[in-house]
Amino acid sequence: MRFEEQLLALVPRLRRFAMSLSRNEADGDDLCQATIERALKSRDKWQPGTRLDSWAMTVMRNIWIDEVRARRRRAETFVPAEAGDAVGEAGDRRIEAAVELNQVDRALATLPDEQREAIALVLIEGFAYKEAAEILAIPMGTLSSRLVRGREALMQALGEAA
Amino acid sequence: MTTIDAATRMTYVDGELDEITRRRVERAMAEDPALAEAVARDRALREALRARFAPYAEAPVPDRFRSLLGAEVEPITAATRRRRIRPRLWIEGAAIAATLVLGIAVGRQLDIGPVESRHGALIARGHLSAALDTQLASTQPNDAPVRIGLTFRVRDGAICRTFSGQQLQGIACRDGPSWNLVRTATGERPGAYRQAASGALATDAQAMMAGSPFSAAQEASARSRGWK
Repeated sequence: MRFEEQLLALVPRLRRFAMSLSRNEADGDDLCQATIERALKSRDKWQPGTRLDSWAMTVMRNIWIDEVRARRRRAETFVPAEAGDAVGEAGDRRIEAAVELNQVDRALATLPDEQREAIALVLIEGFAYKEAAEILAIPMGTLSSRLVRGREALMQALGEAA
Repeated sequence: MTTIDAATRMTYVDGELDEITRRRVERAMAEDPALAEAVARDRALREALRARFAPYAEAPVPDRFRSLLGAEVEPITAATRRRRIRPRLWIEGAAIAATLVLGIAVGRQLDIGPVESRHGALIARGHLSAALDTQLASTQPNDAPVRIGLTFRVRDGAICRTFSGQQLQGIACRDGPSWNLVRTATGERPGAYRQAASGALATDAQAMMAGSPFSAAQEASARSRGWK
């Protein structure tokens, strides 16, 4: 399969990861676009035979750190959590479900970036610890302690909301 | 109180423990309801997070990304709307075809066991059928021979449930009074293959899903309505 086709097949997952990092549709899709552009430009850095998904997620995560987080710091403001509410086919959802989603967004917003990205890779994207640690370029022990602290904070935030 | 700390418990929920530690956690859960509840909460958190972001992985790829990657972009017409549905049908068709091939092999291997073949479809029976009928993910015993994962509705309105047991795991969809196995893989074993199979099943479940997986309350109410 051509590189472009393989990347196209990954776009739904890339969008999901972008959304879980940014929790904002416009930022998420900008991040996704920047990732596709950079992946196309630096395609010769990907080793065929290795996982393209891990590589593309690494590219995305690096862009998120370099550009989006810096931009957010400059603006000294945070993306409003409500921006995530317009997700998906809202018409299909029951109000109860919409409220739950809202709480998840708010809970995620309380996490430091380093915990949120670990949670996103393992709990949302379903990567194994080893792959997630490689994407984040951290030791496994660091990853697992971020996963523990992140989850405890999420539980607490969700518990308070309930 | 048990000696299972939060880190070990969460690693268990993530499916990353070695087999010996995994068994130790499961034994401890059988003796310690508080630990079992904590595991259930960890699982619920995973599901809530996945459900929150699943719509993005299910949505059609926006044209801006398709054109970046040199894929054909259709004007927004009825054709676009059709395209949203077609991949889903294709995935379901492929899943059913894969099940038939795998299912025949699995059926033979298990000497039928929890599965029987009826008019070319694989139907759950025995303890698998009973688990699908009665078990709730939120309350099932931790040592249940078959564990139920997600429950969700697919586009045509049927309720489907993911399950995993020692010999067999898969996705079963309610069809009249029985459960059709639309996707199967060999059961839970430690190591990469098990994870690969579970991951593939989770991806399939997500592709089939219309909306989010059921909450514990929705699951219980679906059971009381006979999974209709």
